[in-house]
Amino acid sequence: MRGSLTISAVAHLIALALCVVAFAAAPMEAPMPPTMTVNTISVKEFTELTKGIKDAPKLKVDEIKPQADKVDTPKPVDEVAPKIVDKKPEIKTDTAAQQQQPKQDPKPADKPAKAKPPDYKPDKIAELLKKDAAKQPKPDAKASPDTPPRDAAKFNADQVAALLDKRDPQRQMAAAETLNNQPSLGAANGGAAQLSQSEIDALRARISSCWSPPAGITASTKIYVVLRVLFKPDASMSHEPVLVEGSASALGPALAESAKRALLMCQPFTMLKPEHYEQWKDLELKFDPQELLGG
Amino acid sequence: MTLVRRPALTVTRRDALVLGAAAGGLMLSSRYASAVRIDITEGNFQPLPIAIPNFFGGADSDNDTAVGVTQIITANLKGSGLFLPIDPAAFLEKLAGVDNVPNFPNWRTISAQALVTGRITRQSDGRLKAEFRLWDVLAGQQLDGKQYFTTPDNWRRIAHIISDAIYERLTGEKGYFDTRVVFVDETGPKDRRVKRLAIMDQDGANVRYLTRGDELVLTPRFSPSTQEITYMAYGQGDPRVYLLNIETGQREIVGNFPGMSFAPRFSPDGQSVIMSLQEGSNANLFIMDLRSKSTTRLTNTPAIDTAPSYAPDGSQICFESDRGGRQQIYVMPAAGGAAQRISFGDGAYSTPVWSPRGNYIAFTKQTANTFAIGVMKPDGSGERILTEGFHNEGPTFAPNGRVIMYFSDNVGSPGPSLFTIDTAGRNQQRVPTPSYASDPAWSPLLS
Repeated sequence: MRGSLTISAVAHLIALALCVVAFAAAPMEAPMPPTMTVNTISVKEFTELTKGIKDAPKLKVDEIKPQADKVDTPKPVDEVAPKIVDKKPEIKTDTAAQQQQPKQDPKPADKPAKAKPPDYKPDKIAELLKKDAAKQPKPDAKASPDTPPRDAAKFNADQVAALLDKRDPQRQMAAAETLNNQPSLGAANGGAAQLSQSEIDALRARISSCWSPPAGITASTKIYVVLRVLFKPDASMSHEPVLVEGSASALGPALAESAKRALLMCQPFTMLKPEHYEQWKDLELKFDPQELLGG
Repeated sequence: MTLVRRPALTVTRRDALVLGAAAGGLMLSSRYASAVRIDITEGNFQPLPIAIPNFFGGADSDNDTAVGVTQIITANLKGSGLFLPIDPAAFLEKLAGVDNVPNFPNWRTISAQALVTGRITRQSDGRLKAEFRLWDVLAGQQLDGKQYFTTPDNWRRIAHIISDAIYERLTGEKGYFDTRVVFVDETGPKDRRVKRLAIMDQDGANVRYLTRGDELVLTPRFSPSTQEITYMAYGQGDPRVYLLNIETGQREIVGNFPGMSFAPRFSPDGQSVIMSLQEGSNANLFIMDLRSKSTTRLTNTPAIDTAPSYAPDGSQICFESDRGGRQQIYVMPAAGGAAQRISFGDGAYSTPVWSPRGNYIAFTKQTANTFAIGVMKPDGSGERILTEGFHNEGPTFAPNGRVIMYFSDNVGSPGPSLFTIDTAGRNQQRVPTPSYASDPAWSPLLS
């Protein structure tokens, strides 16, 4: 009696344990939202960063990793910052700070503060730095308010042009290690910001001028279709548009066909610029006649 | 907790997690590699350019029929206002046969978006075979293709059926071409009009007279399910409601009520007739079941309630009543009950009729010096006037709810004629009738 009770209890426990393991509710896997590196700063910090005042807190730039928008071969990073002859040890700290800059370049706001025209007299700066190094360990922010008046005489246009040249940050961004996964404007490679709003509007106007919705739809039917279109570089369609989404309705096929006819009639869409081909080669067009019907 | 043991097919927690992660990864990769999405919300409702070359005849003797079918299809589609048949003189390609694939660039050049080819062949057993193909010129593919067999004298109906198939495929809504219209044919001088019931195809062909003209007839209506018509006739004495079988010609009186009975209509199931019965100086709505002959009262007001019409789902009735002092339109539940007024404009509203689609009630509106045909939503909102004139009256809906037929008289004209207009107020067309015509009623689709 005792033995069987024990066996029964053990068997029940095993059964319970198995069930807990086997029938544990699997968590509902929601699609993960795209990750985005966020650096939170307060409003005060942001305004003061852009202002560039002396006691603006230094951005913790080490934590920010630059993200490449395109996968590209790493290019040799140009050192915009000058090579400083390290005569004085004080200047070494400066150089060290400046050599960090190429890696941290995607902060154009910081750039004018950090990069310096090369032809200033190192000794003058060294004195200043020696003075200030004693006060606070922030030579970079220190140097910037002082250098502009000092170096007005040694103004070098090329270096200023290098500072203003917006291409540099992007070139160096291509050399970063991690790929930017955040979809911006929906393009897989994240460069869609370049497809201008005027091109989108022109495309929309052209398609609208060709589109004649089927007669059967009324304001109460509330239907729409989404067609996926792949374009050739000459802005004509590479093959027939494909229906990817649509509301369930008896009028759906007629609406989809009217949309396809509009696209077939209106191609090629020459308002799309060839240099933005990557952004418009794969489009989804949602045909929604609700506004047209006043619904 | 009940322990239901499922051996061997259990998914362990680890498996579930792995699957979930894989699914999440899949979802991530597929869902977020999405393209730019642009919304197109504007367009223009344009008639669709369609090319309809003459149908082929299987033998030379069939050519006349083939040409006739082509002409009916062209007229139907053009008359609907939604299609623009292209002039055959502009065609670039002469097709070899209905089974040949057309050379689409030739048709694209003339701006055709759709192409219809077909063939009519007399079979050896005497039947007529009609076939057609509908092509999408821009996409370069066939959209539809059908074959019909019928008796040779039904060739007009085949043309209407093919028109319906083309219409439905390209617009998404059902067609209305294979239908008939029953109306009151009027002949003779104005003071001695002879009124006969007549039935014809919706395009005005095949007119047949159903009564002899020795009594005045009014408001004929089709049954939704059978080949019967109900109408009101002034025989010897009071006006009465009759049932007429179109095929056999048999006539039957609906109820034997004291006083006048008028304004009959069928219920959506075709099993009862709703009408207005006179009681003294009032008129109230009654339903009579056609099989059991039992009558049910629906309204009991000291007013004239008339012109009832069922909603297509049979749940409500709209009718005309002057209980408020002037003729207005009311809606009430089909079993009777509180009636709600839905017409509030300036004028007298009459002859309400509910659209087969259920979205509109059409009516006649009379103001000081004009008659107008309009539509409003069943709750009374969105009132729109479609046509105005000296005397427009008696709207009836086509089975797809898109087109309305009515009759109209002009100042000083000798008699009324039938017209059609679509519910957007466009494409007004005259329906040809042998003589003057009034009180049209559209049949349901015959096929």
